Amino acid sequence: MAAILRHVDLIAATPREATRADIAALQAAGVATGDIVRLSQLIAFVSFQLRLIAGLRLMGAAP
Amino acid sequence: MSDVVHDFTADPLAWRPYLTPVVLDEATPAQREALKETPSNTKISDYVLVLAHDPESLGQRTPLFNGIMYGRGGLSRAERELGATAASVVNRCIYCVSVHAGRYISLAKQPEVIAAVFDGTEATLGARDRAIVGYATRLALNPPQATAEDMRALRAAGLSELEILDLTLSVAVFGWANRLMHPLGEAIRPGIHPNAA
Repeated sequence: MAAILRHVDLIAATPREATRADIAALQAAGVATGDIVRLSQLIAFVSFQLRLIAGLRLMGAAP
Repeated sequence: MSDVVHDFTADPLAWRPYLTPVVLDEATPAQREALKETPSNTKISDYVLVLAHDPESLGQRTPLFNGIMYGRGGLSRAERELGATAASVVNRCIYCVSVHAGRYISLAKQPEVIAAVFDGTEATLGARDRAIVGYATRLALNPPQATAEDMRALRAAGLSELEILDLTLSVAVFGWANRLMHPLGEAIRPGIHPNAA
């Protein structure tokens, strides 16, 4: 669980810092390939949502 | 590994996954269904075959991505690619940058705009490009950093509400794509890797 939480924080906030070692750390913690992809999609989709909502809020605010 | 690329370029690169892609001949029915959106006349990339490990999310993602980047009307294809490139630079997705910077240049014929995005010197650009790149960079980095001042700059530069929505969607969908492609693999020099994307 600690490995998963660490990965979520890293990819959500600073994806530019991600390296091969971060995927290896999930594998070493026993996270299966399908679950690594599912976790990645979840983090990435929420990141999409947050940016879309932020942009829509700015568009809807009084000019 | 010596073939890994770490610097921004608009030249074509390849991509090598850290995870083993799904083997098409061994794909489950759900995986085959999720892969159907990919045009049958092109080889399915390793990137899509890695994502096929979770067919449910892939099946939702592909049509949404294509609609945002290639849907008709609104912001020009070139300026959607510019938003995608600026986001990919923020997130250091070297492979994403190579693809979308290359597409922007082939569509807009303005390599100097991409050079400014790579160098962080977008302040030297014209008002419209500067407004697009500035908003895209801040929204990609951390959503609260995009502000009402960005909206004023976009509107003052002549972007319609529909164009601003399309730009927002393209930056947001690259906040998604960059978080798949960069963490799950690395950009490599093309040509010598038969299995690379």
